Amino acid sequence: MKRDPCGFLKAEYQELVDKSFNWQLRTLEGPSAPRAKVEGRKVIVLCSNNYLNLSNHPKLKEAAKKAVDSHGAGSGSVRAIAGNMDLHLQLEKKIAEFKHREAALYYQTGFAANAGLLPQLVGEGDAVLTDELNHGSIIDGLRLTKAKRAIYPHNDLAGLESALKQADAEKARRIMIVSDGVFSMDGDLARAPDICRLAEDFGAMTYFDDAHGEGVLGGGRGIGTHFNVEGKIHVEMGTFSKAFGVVGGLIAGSQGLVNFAYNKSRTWLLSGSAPPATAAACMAALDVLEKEPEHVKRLWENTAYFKKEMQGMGFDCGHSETPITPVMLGESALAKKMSERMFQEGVFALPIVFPMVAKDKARIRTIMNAGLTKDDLNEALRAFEKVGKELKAI
Amino acid sequence: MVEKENGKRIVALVVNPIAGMGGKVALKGTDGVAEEAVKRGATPIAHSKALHFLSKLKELGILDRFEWRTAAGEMGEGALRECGAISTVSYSPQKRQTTSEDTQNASKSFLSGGCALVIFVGGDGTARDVHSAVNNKVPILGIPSGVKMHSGVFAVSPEAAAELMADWLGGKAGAQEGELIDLDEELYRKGEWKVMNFGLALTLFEPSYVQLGKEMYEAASHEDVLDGIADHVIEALAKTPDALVIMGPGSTVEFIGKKMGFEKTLLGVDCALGRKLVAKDADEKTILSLLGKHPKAKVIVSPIGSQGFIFGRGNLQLSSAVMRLIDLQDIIIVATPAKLASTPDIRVDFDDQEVVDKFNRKKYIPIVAGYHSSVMRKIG
Repeated sequence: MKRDPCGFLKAEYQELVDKSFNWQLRTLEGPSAPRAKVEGRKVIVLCSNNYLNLSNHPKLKEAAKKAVDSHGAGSGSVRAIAGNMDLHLQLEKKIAEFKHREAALYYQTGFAANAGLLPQLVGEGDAVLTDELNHGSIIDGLRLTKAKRAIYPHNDLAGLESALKQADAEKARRIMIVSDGVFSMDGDLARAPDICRLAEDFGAMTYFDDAHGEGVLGGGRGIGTHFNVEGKIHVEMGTFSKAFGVVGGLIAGSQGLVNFAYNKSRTWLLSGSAPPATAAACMAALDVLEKEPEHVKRLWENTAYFKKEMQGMGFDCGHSETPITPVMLGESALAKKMSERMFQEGVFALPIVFPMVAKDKARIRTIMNAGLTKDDLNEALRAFEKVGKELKAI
Repeated sequence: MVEKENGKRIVALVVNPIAGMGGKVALKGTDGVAEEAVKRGATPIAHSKALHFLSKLKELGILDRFEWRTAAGEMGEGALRECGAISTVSYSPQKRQTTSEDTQNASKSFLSGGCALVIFVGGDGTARDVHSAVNNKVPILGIPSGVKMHSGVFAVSPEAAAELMADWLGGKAGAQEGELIDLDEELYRKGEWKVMNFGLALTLFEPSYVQLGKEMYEAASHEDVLDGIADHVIEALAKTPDALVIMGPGSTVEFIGKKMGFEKTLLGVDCALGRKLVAKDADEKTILSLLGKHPKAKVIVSPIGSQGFIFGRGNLQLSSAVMRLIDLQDIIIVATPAKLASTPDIRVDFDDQEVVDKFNRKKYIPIVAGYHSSVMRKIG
């Protein structure tokens, strides 16, 4: 038999298309902004993670430009060989200060942080307990470990406790609890204080992925500050690609954690370090957050207004506690249709459908932006009302 | 809706007195082998299931909200009388030993007298009999009491059936179609699993949710997943090499058994000691006697169907008497992530409340879903 080396590419892609599981990419023609040009149309963007609109902040853009002039376009190597720049170290010092922690480490992406560090923190003879709705980068990171994995029901403390007891009874050498800080589909929060208390009882390590919490919760410092458990979280993991408006992953904690992490994370060790412009822009983002608290304030004001008005019209906005506001629609077809019509009306918001969420829980997931004005919000709300009535969603 | 002027709804109850009797004696069904089951020491369970259902209706204060039609004696009249409900008998069986024709004829008599719902106590076979007579003219609702209950017309338990009736009265539950599934019992007893779909039957709908989570990102093939589960179980069993290993029915457990080198039956309960199979397709008595000699034991089971039963469906040999001798720590529950995706909760069904409570107290139980990977699930 003669092999067809790449035949599967077409076949498997077609399979995705047949099930409508394939991604259809929309193209931004210009910056990621609260009002952006998407495929020739000026739209209000309600689906970017650029919560604070920092990607367009003059201080970030200026810092990036300056770093290009002073340090060039690329870093030349991995950090471990010849790509470790003063800018990287300055950024890490700044992260640690901002997070009120001893030390921090900057990764190329948030995914690289989870995929690189998680499998090193636990191994043979250990147990790792993970929330069933944790992000895919956690799932993949944990797939690389030899530790026993126990998946506990979402935010279910009794379920977590029984998993802890089980690990304890099996005499696990180390136990680690991993949870998202903010769960990205529903916008609800991890019960961090209870998780930390349980962890303390069992001598377990805690690892929070605060990708959607940093720049949003606790005045921008994240879930630890929000719940006042800063010192109790052993590994605070986050990203610069969302509210901070740039790109890159981070971890913050003890100096011991950081020493361990950069010596053992293969993603960190084996891929080129971030370009100077990126590191400088990240630093500027932290600076802006410290000096200009109005961005976070406006994000929450916008969120409160949008949620109240949406609920007033009769939309079901789930049980979100953050600027992620799901508009629950039920049927996948309705969510897709609604998203399409909203785009025609000038609002860009993506549908989240089966199998990413349960069959009867399809929704449009909106993400608020601090850069949207009252007029922008009113325009978006009018579009939701019009299309919602047209499709009998309200 | 058949409703009387006094606001009562007319409903019918038919009990298949021999349903479920084959289970504990490893007969995998009672169709055509009722006498054999009795010979093997089987005792009736359908009557007590009917009583559980009626008592729950009473407790909910709605037993009197219905006007009852039923069949004589053990086919329903007795249970209704015991619970103090007044009923009209519209059918009497000719012989003491009832047959599937009796179930069909009783159901036909209910329909011609007019009724809004036919409730039956039995298994998949009974469901087919009732459906063939009622033929979707009114919804039917099963109270689980058989050996196999794969059809979508069964409530989760007698108590849940009563609660569903309350929702129905309150307008919260309506009729919808459920699949009628049965195995060919002849083949089933020989160890072959031929599932047949007998069409759709109208039943009362209990809303249930399918939570899929992140399964779409799972890249492993079904075979790889099973392999991982088997490796995990084999590793766990190696810690107690002298324990009696009791393996329940189903394809996941069969896969594990085969990987351990046993000719595991697909539908039976098999027992192994050391690396040797000591009982194939064992009945309750055999299992109890093995446990008497080897009290240290491990039980491997998998949830049956989407209702999530790990005991009390398809493995009645693993009875409450057996489970009294087993420590919960020694039960290994296995299921593929795909199966778990459509199985929100894990349930048990025993005739002994103390054994049920033993599980309920546990509240959460780990399900092995891959190598070194378990999922904590609510139980009860």
